[in-house]
Amino acid sequence: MTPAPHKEPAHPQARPAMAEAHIEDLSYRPYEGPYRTRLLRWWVIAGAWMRVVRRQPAFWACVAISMWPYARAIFFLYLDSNGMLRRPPGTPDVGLMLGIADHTPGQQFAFQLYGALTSQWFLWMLPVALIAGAGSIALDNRAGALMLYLSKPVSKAEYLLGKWAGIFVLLAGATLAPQFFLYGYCALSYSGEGFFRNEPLLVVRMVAASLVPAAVHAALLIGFSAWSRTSRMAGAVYAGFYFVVSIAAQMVWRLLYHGHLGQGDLVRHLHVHGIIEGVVQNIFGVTIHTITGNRRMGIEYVTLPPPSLGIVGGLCLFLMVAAIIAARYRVQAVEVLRG
Amino acid sequence: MSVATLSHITVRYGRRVALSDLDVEIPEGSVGLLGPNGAGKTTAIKALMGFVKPASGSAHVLGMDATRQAMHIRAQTGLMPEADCAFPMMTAVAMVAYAAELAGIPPAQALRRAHETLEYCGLGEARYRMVDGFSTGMKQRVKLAQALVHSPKLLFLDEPTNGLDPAGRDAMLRLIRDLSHDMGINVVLSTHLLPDVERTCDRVIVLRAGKLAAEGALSELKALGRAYVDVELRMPDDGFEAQVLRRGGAIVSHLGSHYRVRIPTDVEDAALFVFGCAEESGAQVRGLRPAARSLEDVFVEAIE
Repeated sequence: MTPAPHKEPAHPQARPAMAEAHIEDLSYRPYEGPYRTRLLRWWVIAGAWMRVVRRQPAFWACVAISMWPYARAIFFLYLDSNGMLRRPPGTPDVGLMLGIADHTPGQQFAFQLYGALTSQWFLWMLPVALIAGAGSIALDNRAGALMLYLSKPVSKAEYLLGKWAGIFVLLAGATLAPQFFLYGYCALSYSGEGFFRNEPLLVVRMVAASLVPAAVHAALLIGFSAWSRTSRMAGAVYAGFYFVVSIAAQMVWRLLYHGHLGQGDLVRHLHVHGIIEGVVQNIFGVTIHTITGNRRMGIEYVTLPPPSLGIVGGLCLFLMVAAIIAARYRVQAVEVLRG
Repeated sequence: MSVATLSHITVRYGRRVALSDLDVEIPEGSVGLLGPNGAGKTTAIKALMGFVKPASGSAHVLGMDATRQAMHIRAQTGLMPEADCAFPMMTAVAMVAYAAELAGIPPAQALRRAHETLEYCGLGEARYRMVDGFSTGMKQRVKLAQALVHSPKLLFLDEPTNGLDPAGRDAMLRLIRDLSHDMGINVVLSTHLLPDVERTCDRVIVLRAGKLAAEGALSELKALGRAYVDVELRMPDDGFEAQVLRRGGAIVSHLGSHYRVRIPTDVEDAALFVFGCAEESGAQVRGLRPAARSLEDVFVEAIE
């Protein structure tokens, strides 16, 4: 770009504010350089939000803590590879019963990746998600930034897409990094034992599954954040919603289906994490074996196949769309009090 | 030539009518949008930016329809809102660079523009500090910088001197005047502070209860016409007053040796009339000029 010629002010007292400045050429000149198209304007918003979150040490601390299920998975794989979790034919499979190893051909490693992913997301990634998403729009509400955004050539849809993408990329990154690490560990340790032959599409499934919780939480968080004026309030309400609905769904499932817990897929998955878990289970294609029970009922061996993908996938989409619509309704350049 | 037009526009907030069949053209240059609180000044700006949908009528900015081409309008206009607002958790330079990027300027150029604009707005080294910790005056400057960074053709300034101390207000008004008179940016200044308009604007639009109360060039609105002159004598003189009355004129007001004289309608040359009265009475004329009202008089008359 050729710089515009220096333009002197019409009269010397027109620039009092610049009297103490240190830069020689202080003239304000019209911008004559190139403009970007609006196609990727949302990415500017996503990038700005990611920069804000990445500066917070708490984010990185929580990301580091959230990765411990992968260390646990590697530990179990190590025990398994040393034969500690295998028993002779005819005896109970301890690893399977405890839900820490599955020797079913075709899902030995998918099981570990699935287990680590769902463990990471059920509890440990929640603080990460809250740090990355609770303030995304709430802080703008508080600072009055929405009017600034919408006074620029940025639509509400671009604004919301940018905020969603910012959160999504952070969460997806925090999920994919340890998933790839675990995958790499498996690939290096078990390539001689048919790792690539038995589960050839595992990497594709892993990437797809890792994006699901990031996408759902990002959408829900912008919905909750848009209706809050502080990130703490948004985070507290979202965490409350997440846990209360989760606990309620688990209780209802156990009450309604005790003795035959293998049934009642829909009720078991009728909460945020349950829906995500259902979709992810379908993507990995694993069947869960676990034990449950109490002193009165005794031990119950439960087999939980993947729930209907149509139902959990539909619920997943519904949650995301509802949250985004709620956010879109709330995001206004001006707050108009009607009456 | 007008930069913006409101054509018989009505804007309602529920049952409350904020703009009622407002029909006005905003010409090039610097225009003051005056009116008491609740007159519809901010709503007029919101309608021009496409933030509110009119119940009837239309708004055009730089030849574009505010409802259908709001994005194009926002690319070529800048808004300094009245309310306290900033992009959170950013330094001033990051915030203004971000605003430039949102307007479509590539990142490297945006950063350079942010530095230039903030220097121009007088932020100096403070631009490296977080905006959250700024004083009101500094926040106003950042708000102006973010509105200015992408070289808008039209700048909407909504109460830009709110909360500023006298020195800060003076600096802000000089910036606004510089923008409109030296940089060639069209400015619409919405305020209820008349001195701000007098210092920065060439034309005014006065709104009252969502309707147009008065509009025109500041000098035209303030002029009382040929019928009134302000006369300064060397000392107060009753004989001069008597001569004016005798010749069919009137003394509208006087303070000390300063007189506002109404010239009879059949007199063509006011100066001859005044000097004739002075000669007859032996008074000495020290000053003579066409009488003008203050903007406050114009404003009060318009809104009553």
